[in-house]
Amino acid sequence: MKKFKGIKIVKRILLYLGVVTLVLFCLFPFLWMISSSFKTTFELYGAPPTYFPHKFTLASYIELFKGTFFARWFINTCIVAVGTTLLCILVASVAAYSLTRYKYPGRASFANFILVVYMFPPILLAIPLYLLVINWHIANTRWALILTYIANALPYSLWLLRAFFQTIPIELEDAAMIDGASRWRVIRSIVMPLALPGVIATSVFAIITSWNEYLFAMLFISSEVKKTIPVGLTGFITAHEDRWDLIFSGSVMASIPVLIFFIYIQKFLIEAWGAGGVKG
Amino acid sequence: MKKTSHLIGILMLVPCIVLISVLMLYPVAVSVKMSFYRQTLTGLRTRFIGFSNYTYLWQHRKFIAAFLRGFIWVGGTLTFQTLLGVGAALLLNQKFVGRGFARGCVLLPFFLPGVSIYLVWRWMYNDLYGVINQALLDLHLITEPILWLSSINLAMWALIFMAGWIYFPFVTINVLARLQTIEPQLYEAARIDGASFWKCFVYITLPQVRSVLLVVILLRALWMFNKFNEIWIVTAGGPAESTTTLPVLAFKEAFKVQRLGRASAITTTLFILVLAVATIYLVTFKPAKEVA
Repeated sequence: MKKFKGIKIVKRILLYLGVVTLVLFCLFPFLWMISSSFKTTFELYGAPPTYFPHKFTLASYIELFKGTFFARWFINTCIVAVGTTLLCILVASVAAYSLTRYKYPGRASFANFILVVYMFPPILLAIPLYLLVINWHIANTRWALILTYIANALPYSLWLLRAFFQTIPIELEDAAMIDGASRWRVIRSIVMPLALPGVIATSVFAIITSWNEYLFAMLFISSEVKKTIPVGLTGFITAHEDRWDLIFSGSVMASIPVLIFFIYIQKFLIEAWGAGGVKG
Repeated sequence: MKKTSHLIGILMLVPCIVLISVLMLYPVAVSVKMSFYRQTLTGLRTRFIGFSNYTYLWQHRKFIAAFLRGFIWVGGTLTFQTLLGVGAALLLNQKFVGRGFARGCVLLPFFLPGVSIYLVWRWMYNDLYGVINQALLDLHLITEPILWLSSINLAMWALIFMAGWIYFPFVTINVLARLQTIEPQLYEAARIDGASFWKCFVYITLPQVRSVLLVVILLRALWMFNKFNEIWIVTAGGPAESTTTLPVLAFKEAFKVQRLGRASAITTTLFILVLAVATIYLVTFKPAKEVA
């Protein structure tokens, strides 16, 4: 019996060791980014690299907001991400409601079709969309990004929402309708409250996807003041000089909104995946 | 009555169909068409040339090498993310203090802004100022700094390690979601019968997660094959094309040397691959069947 207890304690210790290693492995690049953002450029470009800033400074943050267009990029990214998400969720929830509540033939095929277009890689769409954006005279505008980001976010949003709507029991709605409630009434007072967590989780996915997008923004936006954060950050590396200090402070700033959203939806995440999610 | 209800249902799909047609299907059709033309970015001197773009590609080492490199890239990162992903899922499925926090941390690599993460890795791989070399030197595993990203032999492996780190949480979250549905009684019964941890894993856990793992591996393989940003931002396909996969080659052909026709032939090849994998996926796993 005593031997058993010993083994159990060793197992516990190994488990915690494993977990701590895993967590550190996952957080390390992120922590490195934060630590680097508070270093002086002298320390940043000093060999050997230091794990913690010897001299803590906010210089790179101050320059980021005073000496670059970062604030503009931040606002641009917000507008594009929110615009894409609103449009995308509106269209996707109407479609998802239709797919799960009306019994017309071809619904399953349509769901399959959505899954196939979801697999289209951005590089496949980038070249023709580049030409189309020029043809439609929306190059170098926010609309170019909002529209093309829908191509990124819509199929997956629809797929996720469909999975969420399927978990709402249709019997509730049928009962209400038999009692004489109109369909709109049923949607408002039964479907919407029940679907809300799913809609929020899906919105967060759409926002994060758009917030992080790089390829389309790099191709469709040419003027400095209209860039989004990811493109702006890569622009700190030029032929003349690399501004890694600005890259790190900018990356920390870009991560903060994602972290906030992430903490908020974390509890939905595993449920969402359990409900039939796939994400690239 | 039934007819009108069908009609309303289908009408509700219209906005979605319009957006997908205009923003996805039409562009793909344009790509396929362009792959049969000689075309530059300005559109001047556009000329129909049949399959010439395709025959050109298959006769050139640059394309074939990029195609084969894609398999090293996919094979490498997929092995890494699957092993690490399943391991992490098994670990996070145990009961311990701070489990919620640990789960959150493990998902972070997948959700943090990609470009920032690629740039941080690029910096960590730096031969002079990078922490990876410094850590290896401190541990006495190497005696002089390694040129991770400027060595033809190592750059691809450096990228593979980075991508494995970014995408293993996807495997973890899918496997974990499945692990949580396994009845604990199965393990209890096995343990009473004296089964070891390893036997439990092989005979209970693995069969239960097998189908979800197959789906994840199939989809991840497809997605990894088509990745562009990861490679472009860290190495831009270099050094000496040693990390140029098909998406990177397509980008370079289109936007660096303005050969839109040839670039479209590459992306059309990717498109055919997507259709093939999608067909396998739909036929084998029937993901759209009603949950009820």
